[in-house]
Amino acid sequence: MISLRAILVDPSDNVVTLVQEGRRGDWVVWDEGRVLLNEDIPLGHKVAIYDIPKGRSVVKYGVSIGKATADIRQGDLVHVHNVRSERGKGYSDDKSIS
Amino acid sequence: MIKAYLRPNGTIGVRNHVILLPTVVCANAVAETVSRRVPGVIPIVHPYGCTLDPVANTEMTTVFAGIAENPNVYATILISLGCETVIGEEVLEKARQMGAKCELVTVQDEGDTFSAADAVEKLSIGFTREAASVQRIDCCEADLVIALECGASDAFSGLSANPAVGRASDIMIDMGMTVIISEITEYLGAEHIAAAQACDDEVRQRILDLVAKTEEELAVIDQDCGLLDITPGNIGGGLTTIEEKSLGCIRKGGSRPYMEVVEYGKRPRKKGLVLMDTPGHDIQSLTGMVAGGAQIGVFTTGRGTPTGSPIAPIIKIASNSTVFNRMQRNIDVNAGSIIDGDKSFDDVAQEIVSKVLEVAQGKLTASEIAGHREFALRCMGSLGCIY
Repeated sequence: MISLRAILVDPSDNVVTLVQEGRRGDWVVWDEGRVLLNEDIPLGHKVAIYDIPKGRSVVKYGVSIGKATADIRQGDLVHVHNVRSERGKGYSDDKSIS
Repeated sequence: MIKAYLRPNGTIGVRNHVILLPTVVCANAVAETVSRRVPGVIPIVHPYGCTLDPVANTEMTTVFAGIAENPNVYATILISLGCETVIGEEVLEKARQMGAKCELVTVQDEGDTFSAADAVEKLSIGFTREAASVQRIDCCEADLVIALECGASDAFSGLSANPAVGRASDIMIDMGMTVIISEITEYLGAEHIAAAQACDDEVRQRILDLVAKTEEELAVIDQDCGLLDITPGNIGGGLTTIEEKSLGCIRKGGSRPYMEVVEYGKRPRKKGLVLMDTPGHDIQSLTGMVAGGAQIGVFTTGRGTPTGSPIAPIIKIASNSTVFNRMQRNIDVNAGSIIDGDKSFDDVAQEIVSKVLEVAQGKLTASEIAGHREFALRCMGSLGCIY
């Protein structure tokens, strides 16, 4: 069983950052926690450590870095394909995110 | 104490440059010609100096004068064509008012570019000889102004290099230095942290107003500006949104209070941590801080950027060991050792402060050795800043 290192910045975060390249089926470990990867995840990218339902905040550094645009499962890659920034005028008019 | 060049106006230089600064793009060739004839002088070529926009003209005048007055500059020779909208005499007067040793050569007054080059060459030789006789003497490190910058960031920038620079920033501020943090585009999503660190309500409100203004300007380009200030390289390095990038970026500022908010290219009046209104473009941002008097830059990078400045030595800090090992000749300090578990944040912070003091006393940085002298102004005009 391969186990990779990750960084949890703040205890309230729902993602960790991989410090090694991860493959589907690898275990990722940090402090007291661990998660099984559902997919390959590149170095420096984020993996969900809890399920994040569509529309909920992705939390890193203890604050929201954007909203999930799809249901994200524990162990999924969290990146531009399933997260969107909340900043910028006109965002509140965007109906694609509830 | 550090060994540096004490200037007549009381500021201290860590370099002793003689620079050739065209006040308009049309005069660039004169600067280049003379730099080939007189080794050691630094030509600053650029595409600016003539626009129909009064706001842009005022800003260029301020920044050119600020560059001439940077304490690292022994003397400046301004080269004007003569008909441009940025008025050479105004730059000269402004630079001299601030204490700069500065002369102006105007091509159309000299006759042609050949005779202008001869005049600039004569001044260059005189200033270079004078500069060579100036010695470093004991100066107070508290008179250093340090510019902070991050560029080509990755997900590790906010986890290693930027927090290490933040601790270094705290140490340098406690030594009495001024530290300028910048790039308002990279405050989107993290402004609450800076606001909480403001020294008083006025500074707090200025920070929040500046971020709001920047967000409005960005919305002109694209309403969905959350993706605008994040580059393909940032995304490739694991950064997903501007909020995530900002939260990492702002860590460079450390924990000391924000004492002042200054306009682009202007001198800070306060010591301690100061925020300058600059865009996220690294070169534009650094040029603004150098015009504001910064003698040294501390610049973190995740993906690896080699850039420097014609005026200030720039110290590069890598966020990860992979990029440090790949770009060792472009990078000075490896904060990736924090990620690797080999060093603590305090170890790397101390390494950064030691590097700043060495560089202040003459040690060359990787970007100086590699010949990086990038120079760019922000695109500011009556319609606002174009990012």
